[in-house]
Amino acid sequence: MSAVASTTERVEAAIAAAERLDPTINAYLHLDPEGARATAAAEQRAGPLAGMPICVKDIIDVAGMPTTAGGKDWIRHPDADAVVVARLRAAGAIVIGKGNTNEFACGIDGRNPHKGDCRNPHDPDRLSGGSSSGPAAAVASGMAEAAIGTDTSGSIRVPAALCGVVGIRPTRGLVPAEGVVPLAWSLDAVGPLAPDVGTASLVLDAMAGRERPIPRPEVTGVRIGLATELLALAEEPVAEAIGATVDHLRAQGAGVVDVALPDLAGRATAIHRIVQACEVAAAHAPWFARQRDRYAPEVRARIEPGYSLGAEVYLRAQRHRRLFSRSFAAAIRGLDAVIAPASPVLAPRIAEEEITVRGERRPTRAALLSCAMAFSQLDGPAVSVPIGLREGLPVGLQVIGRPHAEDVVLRIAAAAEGGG
Amino acid sequence: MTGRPDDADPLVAAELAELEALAAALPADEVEGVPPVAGPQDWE
Repeated sequence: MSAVASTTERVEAAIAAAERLDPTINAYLHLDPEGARATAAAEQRAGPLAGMPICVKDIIDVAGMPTTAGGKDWIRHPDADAVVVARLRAAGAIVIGKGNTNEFACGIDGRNPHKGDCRNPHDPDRLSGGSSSGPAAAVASGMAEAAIGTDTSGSIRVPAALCGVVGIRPTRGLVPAEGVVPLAWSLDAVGPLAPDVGTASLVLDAMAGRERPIPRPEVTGVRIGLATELLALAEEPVAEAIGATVDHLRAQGAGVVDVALPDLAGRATAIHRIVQACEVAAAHAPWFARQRDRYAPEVRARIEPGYSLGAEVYLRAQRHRRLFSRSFAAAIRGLDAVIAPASPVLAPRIAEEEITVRGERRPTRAALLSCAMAFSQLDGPAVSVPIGLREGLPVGLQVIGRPHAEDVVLRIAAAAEGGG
Repeated sequence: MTGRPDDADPLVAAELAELEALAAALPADEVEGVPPVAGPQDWE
C-alpha cells in the first residue's frame, strides 16, 4: 500500500483481502467491516499509526466485539478495550476484526477444533503456527497491516516464522496485559506482528505508550552469539538460510560467534511446562470444573494436571527459572544478543502429527516449540524476523536480548531482514 | 476446583505423569535460598 493511500483506501484494501482470502485461510473469528469503515470515514486519524488497519487476537478485548478465546461456547462481551487496544486506537489504528487462536491460546500449531484451523497463506495445506495464528496469517496475506498477539511459549514467534512476518515478544511487563485472557501470568507477553521490522517497532512503541525512532539496520561492532545447539535442531533448509544470514550480518560489521547456552533442551523445558501447567490451571479455575467437557481433549490435558502438581512444585520450578536466567546471563556475557532459529522447520502440513527432522521422527508440536520455549522464561525481548524463503516457505530468525534491550535486538532484526 | 484428574482420561493422566517426572528432575536442594521469580529479573 502506498504511503499516500488514504485511511479509507487502506481499510478497504484489508477488507477486500479478507473477503477474498479468509474463506480459505480462516484468520478472522470476527470481522467488522462496517465498524472499520465507519471509523475510517468518521474521524480524521492522527498519531503514529494513523489509518493502520489491525487484527487483534481473540483473547484480547475489543469494546463492541465478542471475545471467544477460540473456545467452545466461551464468550464475553467487553464494554472496554484492553489497555493495549486502547493505546493502538489512540495512536490512530483501526480494528478490522478478531484473529483466530488455538483454544485459550493453548497450542502452537494454529489448529482449532471449535472454530476451524487457521491456514498458512503461503500454502493453505500447511500450519500457520499458533497460538497467534490469525494475527500472523492476517498480516502475511494483507488482511491487516499489523496485529496484536500474545506469546507464552512461542505463540508470537512461531506463527510469525511460519507465515513470514515479524513478531516481537517484548520484555515482560513492557506492554500491559489488562483485558487479555491469561494463559500463564508469569510467562505471558503481549506484542505486535507486522510485515517488517520498522512497522513492528512502531506498533510496539504505541503498545508500550512511548514514541522512539524506528531502529535502523546498523550492526557495526555489535556482538552476536549463534546458539549452535538450536541450530543443530533445524532441518537443512532452515539451517542453510540462517547460515546465509550470519554471513549477511558479518558483511555489515557485526561480530557473530558460536555460543553454548545452558540447559536449553532439558531443564528449561521442565521449568516452563511446570510453571505453565500450574498457572493455566489457576487461570481457568473459575470455570474449569463446571465446563470441563467443553474443552478440546488436548487442551484439557494441558490444564487439568496443574490442579494436582501443588504449590511446592510450582515454586521450585520458579526458583529453578531464576537459576536458569542467571546461567543464561553468564553464558552471554560480552554479547549484545543471541540468534537462533525461531522454528527449526518450515511450516509442516496440517495433518502431520509427527515430522522428520534430520532423520528423527518428532511430534510436530514439540518440534515447533523447541527453539522458542526456553527463551520465554528470560523476561527479555525475543523477535522472529523473516530472512527468506526455502521451498516456497518462510524461514524465521530469532533474535534474543536482555530485558529492555529492544533497541539492539530490533537493529539486528532489521539488519537480518531478508538476509537469508 | 477439581481434585486429582480422572485416570480414565488417558491424555490428562499421561500429561500429569510427564510433568511429575519433569518435576522430579528439578532437585529442591539446588535452589535452597533462591527466591522465586518476582518482577523483572536481575540481569547483569
